[in-house]
Amino acid sequence: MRAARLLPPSRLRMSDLTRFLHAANDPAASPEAAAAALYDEIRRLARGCLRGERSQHTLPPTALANEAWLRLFGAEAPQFASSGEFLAAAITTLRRLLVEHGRKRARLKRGGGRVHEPLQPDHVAAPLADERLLALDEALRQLAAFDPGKAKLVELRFFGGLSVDEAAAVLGLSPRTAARDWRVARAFLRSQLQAEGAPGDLDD
Amino acid sequence: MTWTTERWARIEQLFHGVLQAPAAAREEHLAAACGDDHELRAAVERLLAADAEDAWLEQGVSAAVRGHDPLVGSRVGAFTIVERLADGGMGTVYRASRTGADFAQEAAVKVLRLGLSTTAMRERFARERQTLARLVHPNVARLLDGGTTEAGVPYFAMELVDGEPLDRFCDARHLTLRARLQLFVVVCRAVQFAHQNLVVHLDLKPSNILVDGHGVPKLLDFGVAGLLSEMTEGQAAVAATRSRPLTPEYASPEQLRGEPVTTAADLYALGVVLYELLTGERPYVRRGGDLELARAVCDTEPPRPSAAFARRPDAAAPTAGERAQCRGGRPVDVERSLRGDLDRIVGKAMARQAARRYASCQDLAADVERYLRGFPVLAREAGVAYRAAKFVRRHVGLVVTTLLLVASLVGGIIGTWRMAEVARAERDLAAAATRTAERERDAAAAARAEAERERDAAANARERSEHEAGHARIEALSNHLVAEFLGDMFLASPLLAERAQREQVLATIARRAEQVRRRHGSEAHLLANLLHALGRACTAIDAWPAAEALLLEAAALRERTFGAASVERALSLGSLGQLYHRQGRLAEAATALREAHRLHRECPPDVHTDVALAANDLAAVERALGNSGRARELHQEALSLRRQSGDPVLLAESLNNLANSEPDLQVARRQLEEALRLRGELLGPQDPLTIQSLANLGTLCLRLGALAEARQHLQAAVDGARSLQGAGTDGLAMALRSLAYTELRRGDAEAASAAIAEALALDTARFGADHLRRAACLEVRGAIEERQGRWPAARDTWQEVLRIRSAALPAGHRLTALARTSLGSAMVKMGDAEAAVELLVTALATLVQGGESTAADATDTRVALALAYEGAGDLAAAERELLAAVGAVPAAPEAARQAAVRRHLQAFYVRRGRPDEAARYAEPALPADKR
Repeated sequence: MRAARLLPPSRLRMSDLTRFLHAANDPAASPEAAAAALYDEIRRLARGCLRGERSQHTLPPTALANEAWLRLFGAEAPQFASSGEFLAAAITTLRRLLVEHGRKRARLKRGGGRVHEPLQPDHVAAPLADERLLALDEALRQLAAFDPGKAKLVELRFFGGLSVDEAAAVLGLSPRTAARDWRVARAFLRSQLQAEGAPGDLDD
Repeated sequence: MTWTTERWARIEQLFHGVLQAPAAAREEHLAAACGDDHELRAAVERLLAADAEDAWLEQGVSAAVRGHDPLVGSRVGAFTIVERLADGGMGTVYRASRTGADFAQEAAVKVLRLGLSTTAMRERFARERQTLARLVHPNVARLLDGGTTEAGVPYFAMELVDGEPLDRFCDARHLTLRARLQLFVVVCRAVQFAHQNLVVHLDLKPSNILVDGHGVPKLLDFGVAGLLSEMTEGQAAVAATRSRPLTPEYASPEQLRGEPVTTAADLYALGVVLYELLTGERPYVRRGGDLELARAVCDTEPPRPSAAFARRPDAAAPTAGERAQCRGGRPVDVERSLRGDLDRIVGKAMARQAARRYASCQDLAADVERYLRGFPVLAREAGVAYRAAKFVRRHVGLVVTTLLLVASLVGGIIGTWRMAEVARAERDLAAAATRTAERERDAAAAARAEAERERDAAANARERSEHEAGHARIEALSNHLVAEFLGDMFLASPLLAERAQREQVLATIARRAEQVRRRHGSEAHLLANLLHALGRACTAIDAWPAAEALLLEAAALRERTFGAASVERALSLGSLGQLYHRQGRLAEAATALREAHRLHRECPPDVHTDVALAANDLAAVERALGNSGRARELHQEALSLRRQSGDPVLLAESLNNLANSEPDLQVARRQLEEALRLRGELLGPQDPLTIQSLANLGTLCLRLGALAEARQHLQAAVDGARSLQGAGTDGLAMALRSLAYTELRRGDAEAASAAIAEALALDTARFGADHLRRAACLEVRGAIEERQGRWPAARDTWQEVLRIRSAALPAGHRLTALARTSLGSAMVKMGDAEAAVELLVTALATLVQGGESTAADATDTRVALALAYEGAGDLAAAERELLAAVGAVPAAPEAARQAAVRRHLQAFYVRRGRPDEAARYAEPALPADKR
């Protein structure tokens, strides 16, 4: 194995992440587009740098991923100790971006005097289903209070789009442990969302 | 809802505990665990009630952000993108659909993460698309369309497969090992089909093998990995990293090392897939990052599947019991089934050296089927693969057959060591060809790099190198096919020496040839390569007429395609020449090999060519024709070329062969000793080539008169050749022949008779009644019969020798003349002096012309002729010949012969009552005799 295949350098600084956050409040910017771009980069990074994964994903040629970084963020010195750490930070950033944006839209809907449209079951997978997203964010905060590890796992899975195996690699867990943790965390979140959200939202 | 960390830990523990308990016992389990703690119980029950798959949670925000993929809803080629299905390292997969007047079709559209920045890349992509479009097979997801999006990004539209990954499919249905193996065979055959169409996968893994609801497996993404790595290699910036898309868990050691990859990499990946299907575990447990995994894959052997099945890598892993249940049995049954043949099959497929793996996926599938039908599996024959690997190490180039000579014996015994181990060599050719293909793929990669460097140069130059790179690639792949054909045939018949199998193999070859003509009729180059390979296979099993027909067909195709002065035609002529030589058709062999040698020498040195091999082969024929001087020149040419190339095994071969043409026996001895030492060190003592050099050294000792040493070497060579069984047949016959002559010289006619009878039987069975090899054996038998005074038998034997040589050798050949001398002498003894005179005069006329003939040859014949004249009553002629004989023998090196002739002359005068003249020849003539 050559060193070049090991890790794509993290060229993203915290300032770049905050730039994304600003996009959430910038009326000129499209937060959706920013989120999509960040998400894409997270996915690429996940595949390029998750070296401990036990998944069957095909890894991309690293140089291509690098190219993507350069295009998006410019060539700046890395600040993160590991690419896993960076990845987790990027995912947290995306979560904040989406939640901020969701909150704003929810405010607009209510405060804008428009008729509140009840969520339909088929809206479950609709883009940025704000109410549910905010409910999940809240449930995750609760979970983090007594089990921050599992909250992080959910964040990586839900916001980062990481598979169980990928998330396990970032958190330093065995894939099987991560799968068990995911199951109980999922049950907790579902029970919370059922209790607090619209029951019809859940498709089970 | 919120808890303390401790409380939550308890809830969580109970949650998992209840889930593991049988459904009926859950209630009880929970009640017992919670006791009076109703709140705890309620919390766990609430969690349990909410325990279910959740599409929204599992999908996460990808569902949300997906809506912003600009491709969704757009048209790509004939398809409309419906939704994003998955992200992969190579690109993004979408569900797409198209609607026509009377049909609706769904497809998986894979948009590659790659831009086509140069014309060259676009052309290569287009070519690859065409190749993939031909890949129509029920178990391969079909390519429907391909092209570039409006943004210039390449995409493929493939058949949308609704199925589960292979491993999950098997586990979910609790498939037994047998059912898994049957499914696996189907997968192997699909991969083989792609390989035959010159497509490699390079990223085989369970998630790329989907099984639909009817249990039909379909392979996804064929050719995509290869295309991607090729095209990214072309980019200068990326070339520096040489990074390739791969999945470390399934990648072969050569892929992980960044070496050129071949179909053997797919074979390895199939081995890993099989390992996982059988055991439920991957062969290498990941203990860290990719680097550690790669190191383990490259440097260590994984546990055998049977051992892996019993082990449990971590506490969270399913137990052997659970995994056995998934396979419809008890752990002990599964483990027992895996032990032995299945362990070996997986081991052979996953061999770390590509050359030690099965030669093709076809072979892997066939071995699994053999197992399923209860036949012994070939993976047991580990020796073949091992020897193949060893063979590859010592032979550069595809053409590996060697024509090897053994030194001629005193009295004119000359023979050709039948092309050393041709059957074995051809079997190994499969592996050699694989190596060649790898090398040529290297060359292809180099050519590609070259093409890219020239990108900014003139457009013409670029197109030309592009074309060359493409050509080199086709060459590499076609060599693979050749390798697979040969591997198929020869691994399927490891005991080719057995005649019973010959017909079967021959029938297979004929069928294959027909297939090849049908399938590759339009690709003359490929067709010629395959027919050539089949022809060589026929040569290996002594199916001479079939071999000649196939080789001629290939030669004609090559001449049409590449021209009369091409290296391709030279290779064909070389193989034809070897065949003719083997058949004893020396004149035709010489014509073909002289032309091959000339063409190879004229080819530019950077073209793949083997002048040394052509020189070596031609030398053997020249020597058999009696042109020793030319043979020596050619061997010296080969030797000096091989000294430059630095392969010690080939060097040893040239030393060995040169020694046979060396007139100075002490020099020859040093060459042979060096050859023997090299071969012993490089190949080991039990290799046919080492044994050959040992036998040659024994024969040389015989020529030097060191009989005890000769006998020791030859007996060791005979024993060694016997222990090799079929592979040693050739060496055995040759060593026995020299041993027989040695025993005769030592005075043990009985031991000599036994040895020569065995040699004669071996050579006659193999080469037929009219072959020079048989004449060489008969010559020794005739000498034994003479010694035993069995003159009628000796006369008949010599008659047969003369018959064979007259037909097989050109007119005026020394060996034919010497056969006449021996026959004539026997006839004199039988009282048929007149007929003898006629024969001996003819013999003498040849032998006095010099050339290969020595003064001793002429002298011996004159003495025999004198005895014949005397018997026929022509005393004057008898005296004339004897006097000529005594005058012609140089005294210094031939003291013994000089003395013998003088004794003959003395005896003649005594018989004729001329004592004064007799007395003149009674004493040694020269003091030099005391030497």
